[in-house]
Amino acid sequence: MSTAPVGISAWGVAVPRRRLDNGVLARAWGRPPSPGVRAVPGPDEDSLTLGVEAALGALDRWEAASGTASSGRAAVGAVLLATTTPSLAEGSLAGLLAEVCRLPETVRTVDLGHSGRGGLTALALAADLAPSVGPVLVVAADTRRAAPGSDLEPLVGAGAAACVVESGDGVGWALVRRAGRASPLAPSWRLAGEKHAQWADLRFGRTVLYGEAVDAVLGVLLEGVDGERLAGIALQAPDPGSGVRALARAGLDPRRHYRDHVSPKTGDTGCAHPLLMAAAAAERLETGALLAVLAAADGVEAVLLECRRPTPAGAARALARSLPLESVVRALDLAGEVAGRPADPLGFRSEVLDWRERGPTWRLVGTRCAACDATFALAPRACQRCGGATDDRPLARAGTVFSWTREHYVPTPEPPGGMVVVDLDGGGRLTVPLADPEGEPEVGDRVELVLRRLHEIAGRPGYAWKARPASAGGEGGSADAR
Amino acid sequence: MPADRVSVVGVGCTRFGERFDAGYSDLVAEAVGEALADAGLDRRRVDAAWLGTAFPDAGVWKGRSGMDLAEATGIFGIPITRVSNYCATGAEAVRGAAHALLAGACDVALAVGVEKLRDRPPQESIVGMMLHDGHPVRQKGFTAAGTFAVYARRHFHERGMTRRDLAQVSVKNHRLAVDNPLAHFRKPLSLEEVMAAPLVADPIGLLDACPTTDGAAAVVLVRAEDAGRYSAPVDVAGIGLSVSSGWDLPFFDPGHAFLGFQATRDAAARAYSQAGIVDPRQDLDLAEVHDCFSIVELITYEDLGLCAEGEAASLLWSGATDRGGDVVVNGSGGLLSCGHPVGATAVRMVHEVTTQLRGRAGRRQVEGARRGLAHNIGGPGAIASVLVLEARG
Repeated sequence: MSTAPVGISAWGVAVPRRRLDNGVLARAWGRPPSPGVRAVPGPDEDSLTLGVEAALGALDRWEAASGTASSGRAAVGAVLLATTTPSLAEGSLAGLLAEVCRLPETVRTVDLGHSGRGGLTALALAADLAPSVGPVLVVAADTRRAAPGSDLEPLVGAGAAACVVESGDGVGWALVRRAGRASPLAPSWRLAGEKHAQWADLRFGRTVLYGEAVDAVLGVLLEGVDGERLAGIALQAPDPGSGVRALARAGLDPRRHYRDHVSPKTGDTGCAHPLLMAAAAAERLETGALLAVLAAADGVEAVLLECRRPTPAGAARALARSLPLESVVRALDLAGEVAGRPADPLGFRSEVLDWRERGPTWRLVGTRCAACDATFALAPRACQRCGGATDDRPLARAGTVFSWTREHYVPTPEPPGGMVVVDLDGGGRLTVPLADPEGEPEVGDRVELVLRRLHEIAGRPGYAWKARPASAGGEGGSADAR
Repeated sequence: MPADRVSVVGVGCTRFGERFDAGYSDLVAEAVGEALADAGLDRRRVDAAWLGTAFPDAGVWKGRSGMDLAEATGIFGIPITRVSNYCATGAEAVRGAAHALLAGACDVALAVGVEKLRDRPPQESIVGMMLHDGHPVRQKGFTAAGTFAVYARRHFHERGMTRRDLAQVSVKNHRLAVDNPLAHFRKPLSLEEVMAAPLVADPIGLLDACPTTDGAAAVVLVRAEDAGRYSAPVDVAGIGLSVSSGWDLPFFDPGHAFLGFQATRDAAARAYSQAGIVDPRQDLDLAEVHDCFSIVELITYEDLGLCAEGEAASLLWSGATDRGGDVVVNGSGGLLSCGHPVGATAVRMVHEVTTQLRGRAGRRQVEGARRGLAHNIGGPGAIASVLVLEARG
């Protein structure tokens, strides 16, 4: 009896556009230069917003590839969201992510926390779940931070990755083997309530907690695997040297097999990192290739994937699009490390309103007039042009700037705050803040909608859509966002 | 004399400005006292009143109800109605009074507009309310300047308008305000100064925007048939008010082009029809229009029919709306110079037009003025009022 393969049908990634070169950091602290660039979340980005961006990328590509644009999302049986840096300590973020991604109300939502290998654990669990519950959306996102001036600071970053896991002959990357090893300790950790990660004894962490565990798991994962078919290993490492040495110890050629297109451009993105590395590696590989993916944190989680058809992930484009930060002070300010900066304003906030308006506010569902076809990004019960009856209409996440301004007197972490009037592809208009601004907007600019933190009132983050300059056209991403 | 008209028989207006010396009640008392004295009436003769205040929450909850007029003036025992319709609030007070007179519900009516904004720093008054209150998500981060800035941006894009055109409105109005003793600002500005001012909301600069101002104005109205008993009455020949859009609609419905304000067009059509105005540029001698931001005066030229669509900037530069031109627009200095105590503004405009039609405007006097109008835009251009006033005889 042959069972259907279980694996990944689509990938999505998200990397904050703001980047800080480690050279800038080294000069600021008077330390020896270290290579690489780190992805730094903007003041309105967190693990949920990055996770949503990655998840939407995966769902869009999945539906586009399978041609089930209308029913794809409706079939998703579970969503697993892994993060060690959630914006809520109590309260599901997976539920909000499911709402924003327009998943059905019956979807099982699971929040996985604490573990730096949670992303890959989620992938392994999804493979177990998919044959019984249907397609599973796996999302891993982290925004890691270390103390300013610490050894860990140049190594940690932010990012997210997502994939759709299902069973069936249509999967792009079949999950062919797993291995793992538990550990009571992790090479780095963060105390509850603290912002900054810390390192254990550096050499002990590298050699025992990391090195010995990785060696053991690699041995199991690659036993009997044809070296010619092994196209690469996406191996999370506490520093670049440790990963290279682990491959050499396994008898592999690091120059040929070590697949890290990500870390030098983002830093370690925590529980998102193995999936992010895997997505970036996978989109470059062809049918038949084998890809080993290892999460190494508190123990090791590993999977061996086999390519059944090439699957784009949009990773190269997300990694390339950057807004370099010129100063460490700016980066620290964005991270909320500069004391005395104005906090978010107090304001009116209502859970009742969040709930009642979740259609237009979170699901991005507007209304369309059955009589005159006018589309409204709000949810009027009657057409505001002809008075006709309206029905729900999902709105596109891509559009064109119709008009814009920048508010110079509104307090914001990055003044002046842009506001853009966006006419959405396929109908509807939104007026929303501009995210990730790249200088002055122009009438006619292409933008894409991204979920961001709008404010934090009474300690609760308020999430809403903003518009940001569109990613370049082409495969996947926003051009085909719906 | 048409039977369905009312007349202004008394006007009063405080000095506009940062009135740190005067609270809400002080401003009300000053404007009402002056209007009653101008009409030669004792306060006990008033038998109904309307109080327009748009933002009571900017201060100490004064202006939430008609009682704040009673308490300030000692006018008790009559109906007093508080009205609010964003920046057309003052016009709403005048309209309420006029219609009650015409319905025979009263014989002497008082319409008052007042706003006390500067008990707080400017950033915490209307701007602060827009940032902190209102919908927690929708349009969050958008201020009044921003909502009109997106109109300016479309005029730049579609009509080739520039920041220089915006600035020239401010230059004109600040120059005219030098002769208005009630104005908040009475200092002429150069084009360079206006254009060099910091941006508030691109492309609107600080000197393209009206300041945060305190003030009050009051008018006494009677039926036109009773006005002969008073000295120098001025007739209200047309009253138009229209709500033609909403708070969110322009920004969430692609049908809105941001080139004009339908509300002004609707309100003007109604007022012009009542007043028998066919060619506004010929038939009007002066207009006080709602230049809360310089772009709005330009847009209003077109909406009021003073020029064809797309010709606002050339009308401005031709001098036709300046002193000595066909229709003097904002001879008082407008909101840009007088300031904009929201509820007071339309009533201040009626005060100004009445003063002009009585021939008592001193150095600002428009020679031979017979007809003038007062125009307001409320909310993000959703509401507009147009009041046409006419000299007698």
